[in-house]
Amino acid sequence: MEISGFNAYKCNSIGLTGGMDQSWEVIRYKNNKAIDSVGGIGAVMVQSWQSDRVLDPRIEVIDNLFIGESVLEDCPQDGDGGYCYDKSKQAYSAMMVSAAGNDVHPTMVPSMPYYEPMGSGHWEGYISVSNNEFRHFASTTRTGKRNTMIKNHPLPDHQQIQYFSNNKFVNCDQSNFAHISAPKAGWAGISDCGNFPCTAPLNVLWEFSSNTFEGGNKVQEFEMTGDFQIIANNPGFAPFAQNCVQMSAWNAYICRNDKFAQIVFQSLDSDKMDRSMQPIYIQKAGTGMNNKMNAFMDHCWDGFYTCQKRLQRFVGIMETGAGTVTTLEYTGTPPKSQKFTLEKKGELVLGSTVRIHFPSTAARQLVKGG
Amino acid sequence: MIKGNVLYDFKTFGINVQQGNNIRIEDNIVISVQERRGFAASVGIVDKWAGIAMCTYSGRTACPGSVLRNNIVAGATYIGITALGTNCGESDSRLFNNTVHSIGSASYGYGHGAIVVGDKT
Repeated sequence: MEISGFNAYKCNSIGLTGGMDQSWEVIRYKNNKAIDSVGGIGAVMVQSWQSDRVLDPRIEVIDNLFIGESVLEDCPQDGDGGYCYDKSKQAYSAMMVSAAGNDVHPTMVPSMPYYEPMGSGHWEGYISVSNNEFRHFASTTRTGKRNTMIKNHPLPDHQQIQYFSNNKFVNCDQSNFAHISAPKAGWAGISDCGNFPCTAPLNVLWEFSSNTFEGGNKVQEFEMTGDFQIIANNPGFAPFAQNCVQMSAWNAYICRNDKFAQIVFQSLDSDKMDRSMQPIYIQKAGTGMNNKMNAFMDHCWDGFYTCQKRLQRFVGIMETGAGTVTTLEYTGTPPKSQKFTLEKKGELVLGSTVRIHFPSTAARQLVKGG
Repeated sequence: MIKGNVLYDFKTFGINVQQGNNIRIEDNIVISVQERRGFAASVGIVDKWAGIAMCTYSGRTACPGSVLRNNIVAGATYIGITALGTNCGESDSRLFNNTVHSIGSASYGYGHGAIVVGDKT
């Protein structure tokens, strides 16, 4: 499906979004303009529930124009001008492939915007943002709020890797180039994610290649040339990753490290919605990495209560490379049957030896490709 | 065909196409589409809203041949435009140069410029 030819200006949550109504293989946002909106383009799509690799869902955001704040004020006369929309803004909202979405026209009071997924994150998804132009973004809005070019929408389960290539940034203040929101504290609770918030926002990975910057490409001492990565401020991972610089204002790290990937795995046992294994830790031998992962959120409602069913699927960022050894430290009993993939597109062949401590001595069978 | 109109100060919808074949909405200006005051409060039920709704009112609907071009929606509640996406490469003939401007919701805070869904056909 293609979404094109829209000009969105000063919209109060998202300028342009769509594709949450059926299983598309590709959604392409092309030739749109997003100007001075709270969120410019929010790329999101829905795939059917747990359709693991049946399709290869792709979101393409190409040839769009993003423009920063206009001269028209959001809050004229300090709020005495008749209206006041004083919010942080972002041009591109990095989103996800999910299992279920919202109705376009809600008939009950909407507690969340349309683009908030209502189901578990999809196993995979290829999200590319290429050949777009970003113009005239200051670091803050006129009222002093954050004004970011690329920001994640904090979603609980799986934020697929996003690939930014051949984009052009013109007259943009790089001090708020990106921002990665932390997990919402409110996700911690029996109705959502259990004892601690779901961890997808901590495992965000954005890959950049061949982007150009007119008017400055330096943040702190990091030059945003060639290939680089932005990862979340994950205390169990980012401080130990090689060649990374912390960007406190972004709640993120910027890195030159092509060894990052997302490991995705889940229980295939019959009790995969009922028996909890979280937290599971990803530990890289020889480093202090200890990436704590939660299972997916409980997205099911049964009357007034959630169903107490959480998919035991885990997504974590990890650092691969020849000779690396990665331990998956389960705090519960590992399932009898599991499926693993290492998510990363590109020519680079990644890998790591994965160790799992099983509590019993039994023969295990490894099958490549299912 | 709905062409060349100025629609001003409507409640809930400016233009609402529920179903049909070969419907063309072109060169219209829709200004100020507002909530019905007092409708939502007590039971949590709300109206459906949009500046221009193209075949989405009752869920995704079959509307073969629909065209949405050169429209402007300025000041609408919750959604500026809903539209049907096209096959890749066919957009210029069916979806072209539609502008959504100043979309918000006084009661609920969300303002989606355009939401595009699939054509059921």
